Amino acid sequence: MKRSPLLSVATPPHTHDGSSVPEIYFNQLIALLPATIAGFLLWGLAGVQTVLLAVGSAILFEWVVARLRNQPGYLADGSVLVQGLILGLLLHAAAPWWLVLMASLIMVVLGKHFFGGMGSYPFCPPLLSYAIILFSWPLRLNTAAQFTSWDLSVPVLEPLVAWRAYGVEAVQSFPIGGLIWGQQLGGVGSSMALWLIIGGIYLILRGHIAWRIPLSYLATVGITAAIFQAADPASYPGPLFHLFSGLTVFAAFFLATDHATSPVNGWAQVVFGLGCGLLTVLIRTFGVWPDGAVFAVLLMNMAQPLIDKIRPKVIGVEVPAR
Amino acid sequence: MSSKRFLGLVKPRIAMDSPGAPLQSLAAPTEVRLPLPSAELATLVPVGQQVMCGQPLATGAKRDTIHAPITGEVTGIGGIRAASGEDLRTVEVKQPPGVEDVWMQEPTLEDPRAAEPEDLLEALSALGIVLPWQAAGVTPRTVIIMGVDREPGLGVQAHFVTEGQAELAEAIEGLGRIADGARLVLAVPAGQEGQVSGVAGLEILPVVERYPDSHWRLILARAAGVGNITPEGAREAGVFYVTAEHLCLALRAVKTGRPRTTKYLTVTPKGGGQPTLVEVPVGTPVGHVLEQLEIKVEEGDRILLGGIWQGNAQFDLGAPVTLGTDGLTLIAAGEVTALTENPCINCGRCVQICPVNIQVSLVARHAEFALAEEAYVMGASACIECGACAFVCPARRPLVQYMRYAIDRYGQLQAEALAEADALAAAEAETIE
Repeated sequence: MKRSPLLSVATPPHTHDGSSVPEIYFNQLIALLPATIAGFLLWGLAGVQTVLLAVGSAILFEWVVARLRNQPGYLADGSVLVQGLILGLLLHAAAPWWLVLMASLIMVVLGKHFFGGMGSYPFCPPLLSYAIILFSWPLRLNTAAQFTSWDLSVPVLEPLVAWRAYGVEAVQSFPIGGLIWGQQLGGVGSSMALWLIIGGIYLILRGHIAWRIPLSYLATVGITAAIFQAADPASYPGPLFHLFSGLTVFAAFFLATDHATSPVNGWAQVVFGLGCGLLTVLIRTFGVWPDGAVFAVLLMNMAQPLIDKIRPKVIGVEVPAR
Repeated sequence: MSSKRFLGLVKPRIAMDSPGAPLQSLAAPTEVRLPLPSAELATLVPVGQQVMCGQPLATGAKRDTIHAPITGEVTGIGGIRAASGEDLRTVEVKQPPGVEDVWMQEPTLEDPRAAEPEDLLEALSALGIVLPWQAAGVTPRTVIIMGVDREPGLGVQAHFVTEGQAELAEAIEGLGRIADGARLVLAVPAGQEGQVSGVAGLEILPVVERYPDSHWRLILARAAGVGNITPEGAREAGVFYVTAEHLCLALRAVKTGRPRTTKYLTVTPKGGGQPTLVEVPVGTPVGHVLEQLEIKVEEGDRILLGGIWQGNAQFDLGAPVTLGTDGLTLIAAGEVTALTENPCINCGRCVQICPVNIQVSLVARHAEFALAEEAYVMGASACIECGACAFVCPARRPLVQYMRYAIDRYGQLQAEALAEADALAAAEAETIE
């Protein structure tokens, strides 16, 4: 027999469905596009500036950190692009440039790489960074007066702040249709309920996020809010207000579903969404901060290893009785 | 090689497509290398001896025998390193030019249907055919006739179920008479329950046409009434299987008086082209099969003994076809999926597709960082190595390999601990003395 050509060997299986990590993040990017464009249209150049600065700086920081960790491959998976975009959409259009850079730095260095990078971080990085910024510079993130380009048909108050400051009557000034359409004060794209829902459904249909988390999250928010409203309609707004104001939809589809920080099993995902939804409404109702979604998801991220214990029993190799 | 659909809401469905390829005959090889599957087999022929087709080359305590598939000269008794990593002893037989195949004839049973069970058993034994429960030395409770192929893309068992029903029915009937009253179960793809009929006492087990639910180990488990089972566990439970192919070839051997020396193979060319079913002597080098089918092999191609799901990649065209080989699959250099050491992103696709509910992502991460014990306890021990997890992993991690590593390393650690305890006990005994 003549000499064999040099053959390639590997362990089975020798087939793959063609999916890849960049593909997942590319689809996330597509899913975020409608909300991003809607945000740009609403906030104008200021919004574009915030998002581009967040994305650009995140990529830069990632590049530097990946070089330092000697793992340059990390940049190619596209995760930092999506996380930078999520951060940009969370921040508001008039955020000062140094705040955006700070948020981006915290996200990449502390949120992601301090914990080991891809797949290892315990908290959704953009959300963790946003929370730290929120604690550190609350006024910078909250002041409506900072806006330079503003459509005057939109109420100059975040809906959740309006409710907390002026009571449930103030909520009347926010028609639900307007909230769904994104006519509210908030991040560049994080309150574009309709566009985020479209993006989220796209991701669910493509199989890139688990449908159980957003569904149980949104259902729990609705039910909990309905219970509060039924108990005292004079103090608590209804479920639709809670669902479409602030970060609820963004958190349900894009923050709570972050792969590394959410459970993988069916019932665990339901419990995770349930916890997020419940905490969101509770923190909004009784907490100090107007939008509970940020802390709800972070708290549930913390509980994820515990929730992941809810899992089907391994079908083991028991020996049957003869 | 993308087979992913646009929509991904439900977990991917991997169909058990059997390529109904027609049987093609090949010129016999002039050189074979017969692996001896067990260390207990003693060789019967020295190097240099002339052997006939069907002449015993090695035999074991249970009269399980390896026969020469060609007439020629024994040119070597050596060893090869199988792609699975084990060292196998081999007997090499070469046929000099101009030599014709001559068969060594055993007595035949003209009509196996009319034969007494003892005569049938004796005939099989004389042909070196030992059924698995005979090898294990136990009475079988359930014997499964595998009419389902090992994995998608292979069509060996399908050939015997769809083309050779009459032969299979006759073989099963014969089996029923020598199987000590065991429950006979024919596992066939769902929808083909009617293929074999008229055999008294034969149960039909329809197997869902979806991989990995159609995995042989899961079929064994179903027959044993459990969720998952190892081959050893099945043996303990008295559940055994024979393939439809082996049964039919054993029947042919009894009828012709010539031992079984061939193997059916589904050969799949590069690019997933039209597969061919061939019958070749056991021990045929894969290079010969490819040459006969005019399939070119280039640098960097991958040659698998088996299919794309469980097949073992070979590093040598001289690798022999064995009795456990159901397929010969080629993957072009440009089509191989490179595995990576990317970190797990915890997307959970592996967990959703695992047929035995292993938390693959978690177990693999433990194995990755050499925490074999944790990985084993968490479920690696239940792994049936179907490969579905690695198929869907977007990070393209070698998940099956991590499972194998965990199982293997755990075994090593257990053995080490045992040896240590023994040494300690011995030292203690010494001090007491």
